[in-house]
Amino acid sequence: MINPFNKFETFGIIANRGKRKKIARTIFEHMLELSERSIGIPNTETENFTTAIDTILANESIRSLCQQQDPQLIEKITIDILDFINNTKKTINKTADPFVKENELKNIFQNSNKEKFQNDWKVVKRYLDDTYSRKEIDPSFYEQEFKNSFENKKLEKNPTQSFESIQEHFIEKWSALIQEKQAKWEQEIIELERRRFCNELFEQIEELEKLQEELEPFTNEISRLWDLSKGKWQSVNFDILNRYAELLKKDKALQDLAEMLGRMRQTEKELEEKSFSTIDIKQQWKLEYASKADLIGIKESDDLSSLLPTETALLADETMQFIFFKKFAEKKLQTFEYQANILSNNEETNKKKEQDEDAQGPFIICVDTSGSMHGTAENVSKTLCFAILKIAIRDNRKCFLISYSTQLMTLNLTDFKTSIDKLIEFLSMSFNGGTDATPAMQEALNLLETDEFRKADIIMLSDFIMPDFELPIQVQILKAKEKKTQFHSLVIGTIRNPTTIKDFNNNWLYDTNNPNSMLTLVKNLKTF
Amino acid sequence: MIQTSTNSFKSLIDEYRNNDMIHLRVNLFVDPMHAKIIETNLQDIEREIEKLEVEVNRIKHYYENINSPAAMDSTT
Repeated sequence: MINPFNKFETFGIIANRGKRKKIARTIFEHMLELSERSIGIPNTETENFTTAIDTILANESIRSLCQQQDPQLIEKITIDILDFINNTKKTINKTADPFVKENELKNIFQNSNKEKFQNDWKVVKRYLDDTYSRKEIDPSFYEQEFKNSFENKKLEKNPTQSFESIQEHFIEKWSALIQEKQAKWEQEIIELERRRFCNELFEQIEELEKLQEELEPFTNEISRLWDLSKGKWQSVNFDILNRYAELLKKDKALQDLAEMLGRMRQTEKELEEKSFSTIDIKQQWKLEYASKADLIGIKESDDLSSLLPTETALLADETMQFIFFKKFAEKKLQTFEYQANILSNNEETNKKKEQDEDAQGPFIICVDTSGSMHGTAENVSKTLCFAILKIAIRDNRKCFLISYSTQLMTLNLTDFKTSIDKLIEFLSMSFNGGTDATPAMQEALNLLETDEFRKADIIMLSDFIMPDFELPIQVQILKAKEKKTQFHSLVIGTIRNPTTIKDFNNNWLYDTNNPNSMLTLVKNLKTF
Repeated sequence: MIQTSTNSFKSLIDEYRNNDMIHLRVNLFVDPMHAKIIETNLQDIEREIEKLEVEVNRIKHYYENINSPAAMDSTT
């Protein structure tokens, strides 16, 4: 599983990796649980960011968003807060540190010794008198203490402290004052940045609410809209989306048609056989007779190394030798029988076959936007495209829209955020120009070569008043069909052009003159 | 009271240093490197005690000057 906060945890510039991980998790869980308490990490661990984080999380708008209990949305808000922390820290680092000189002066005095003291102390005392009130640090007190240490008044009752001890005490007090000032300065910057971030966040939340209303016909996934709400959409007119949504609501048959076209690929779920080879290693005891581990008996053989002494005795007499040779030739010499149990590893290869169900496939829609489509055909094809794209977004399916007349316009709806304005542009444009379907089909065929759309089906919406596809395209279509790609044509007009539609697997007609045409079409699709 | 206690602690450290630790560097059973650590630790303790004394003096100084024109309060 991908860690959504990995960027902050790995490359964040506050604290160390472990603490950054803790901060990210705490913010996320805090929002998920709708906790009203502080995040509970001390300011020292978050480099003064705890107060700012608590203020952001306590905000009503954020809390109301978190009430939707959408982990993806909460993840996105957490990432935004983490980005705010990182960016603010960058701003602090970039801003000139106003305490550099004071720190330098402190370091010089820290390394000072008794010989250099007089000169260094004069500068330090003047600086402290000008910068701090006596309430904060009193140089005259330390001056007296240093003086006493030099005079080395070793009184019985009240001996003085060493120069080094007084110097250390003084440096500690001074460092604490500098740290306090530095923390205050950092917190002021953080507070300033927090206000700016909160304003942006509230604007984004307002934008989100608007988008939620305007893009309701498209998606209700608030986490998707959160990314979208970062863009400036004020200039974009979303009315057109609502208009087509209304059209779609009125025309139930058109909605059904889109659903049917969307399901085409689903009905053809491919079952792919995948074979897996597994190697199992089994241990077992194996008997080995060649190894002389255990003596188990006597047998007849020609194994001279295991001969019984009685057999070798035959060789002692010349006449008896022949009996030995006979037995040897017949493998009937009496020999010891040995055996050994050896543990051996056996490899077994198993082949399995698994059936893999294909997920919902992507689709490519080619829409004719030529002048001949103007009027009812234009409205029908736009509404149908709108409906199909809506299904694609709803089902998280990859979808590619190619509109063509004399020029091509392509729209990859895989990324909803970047394509919504192009979709509005498509729905707003008026259809004109001549028809040239070849480049559109070529583009669709090229897309089939990509991994993303390898298993896509192609749907072409047109009146098909156009010449045939060129021969190379027809060959490519045939090749794609062999790879199980389905080509559907939906003729929006009055007549089918048999020479063009012959290249498609399925052809349907939407007769613009017949008011019941859509219902007939849906019926045909359902029986398909 | 505090000064008396700290003084007695300091005397104890001095006594320890001057009597028990005098042969530390030439002790057969002590590595000279470790002897240095022991000496530094003793010195640090003594310094911490002295810093406590300075802190007491500081509080005393603020207390004595509470009504002075500088209008100082103890910040401790």
